[in-house]
Amino acid sequence: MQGLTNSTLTAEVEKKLHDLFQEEQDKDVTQVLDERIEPEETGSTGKKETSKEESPLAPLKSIVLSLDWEITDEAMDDFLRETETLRSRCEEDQVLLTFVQILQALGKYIKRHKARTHPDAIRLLSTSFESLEKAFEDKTLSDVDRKALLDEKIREFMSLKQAIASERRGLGADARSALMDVETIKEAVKEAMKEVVEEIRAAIREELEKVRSEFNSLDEKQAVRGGWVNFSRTEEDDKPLPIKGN
Amino acid sequence: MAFVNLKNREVQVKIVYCGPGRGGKTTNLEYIYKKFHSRFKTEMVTIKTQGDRTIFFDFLPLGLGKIKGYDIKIQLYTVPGQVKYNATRKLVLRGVDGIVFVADSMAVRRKHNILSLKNLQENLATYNKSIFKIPLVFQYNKRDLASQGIPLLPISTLQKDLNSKLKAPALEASALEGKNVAETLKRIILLTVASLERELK
Repeated sequence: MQGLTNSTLTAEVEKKLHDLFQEEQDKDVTQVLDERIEPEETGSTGKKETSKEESPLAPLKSIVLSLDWEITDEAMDDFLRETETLRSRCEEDQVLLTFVQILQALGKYIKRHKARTHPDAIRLLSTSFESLEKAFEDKTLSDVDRKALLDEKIREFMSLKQAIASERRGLGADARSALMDVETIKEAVKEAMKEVVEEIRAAIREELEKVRSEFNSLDEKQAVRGGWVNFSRTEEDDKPLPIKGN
Repeated sequence: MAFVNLKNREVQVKIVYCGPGRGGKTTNLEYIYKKFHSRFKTEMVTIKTQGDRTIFFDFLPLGLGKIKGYDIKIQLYTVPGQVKYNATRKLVLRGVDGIVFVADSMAVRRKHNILSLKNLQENLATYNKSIFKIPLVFQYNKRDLASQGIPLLPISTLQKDLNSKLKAPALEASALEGKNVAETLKRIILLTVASLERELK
């Protein structure tokens, strides 16, 4: 532990770090702040640092970046409001207008579905904005390049739409097949119940037959044993009994 | 406190990058990894969600090599910035030796910076650590966005909001461009090692 508690430890670590990050340090634009530095000296306010005029896309960019963090009704309303403003500015330019329309469609979808939004929708919204920004600000882009940027996003938009639709269809089919399953099971149970009831009835019938035949055979045996063969009245039975003593 | 293994003569220092979600914590570590991994011969471990957000943490171990006969190992962690992952954040902060608070310079994130710092203070308190005593460096990230016309918070506002009482070192940075990323790391390592040195005396 002695070695560690030596007061030169920090100095040695500093030297080591200096060696490890040497190349990087040369490139770093290091500016360490302390309490004495006034804001004016840092020159670091957003407005002051802006090297070019604020782009008309800046408010929308800020909202797009914040959507990446959390999606709230307020943020989505701001987003749709900004796209509407932008739309009126882009009416002359078909490429930009289509980009804005894609953003609006995605925005409305995300606002409606929030947490249930398809995971690719946010990514597409973000990359569509990037492409819009490029088409809007990069003056070196030819019309063909701008169109290619737009076509790529249209393709992605269409495939997202298809993915969402097929997901819904898939869900519908699943639900239908689940319902069909329930109906099939119900029918099968009904059939099975019928068969069971029939079997029980048949068994009861068979049992009754047996009991009946048992009874019949029992009657005959008892009659033979007890001399019950002639129970019917005869002429002899109607004759008066002889009087004794006469 | 740092883990000191006297038998293996090894010291492990844990540094955690904190701050609001989407502030650039992971970007800091990614930049360090991309730029210096050949020197440190290390691998970065990262677990992300579909939307590229940190769900658990990122982990980047850096070996500084032998210093005074001890192998100094720095473990860099980030915590998930999203509010809902506080349990993970708290867990990653266990045993932390130094903190880099990556604040988002965008004007729309002002409230998130303040809430995130408060949350850090509360989470440290659960481990009986004071934000006033732990080695801490502020990094005001995304300063490059100013050139794109994005409204940024003035440094004076960030200092007033976050650092008026803590009075920790603070650096302007752009993690995406790598500006002051290494300097921030150097600062926190030095502060943490100095603090460790004081504790061991």
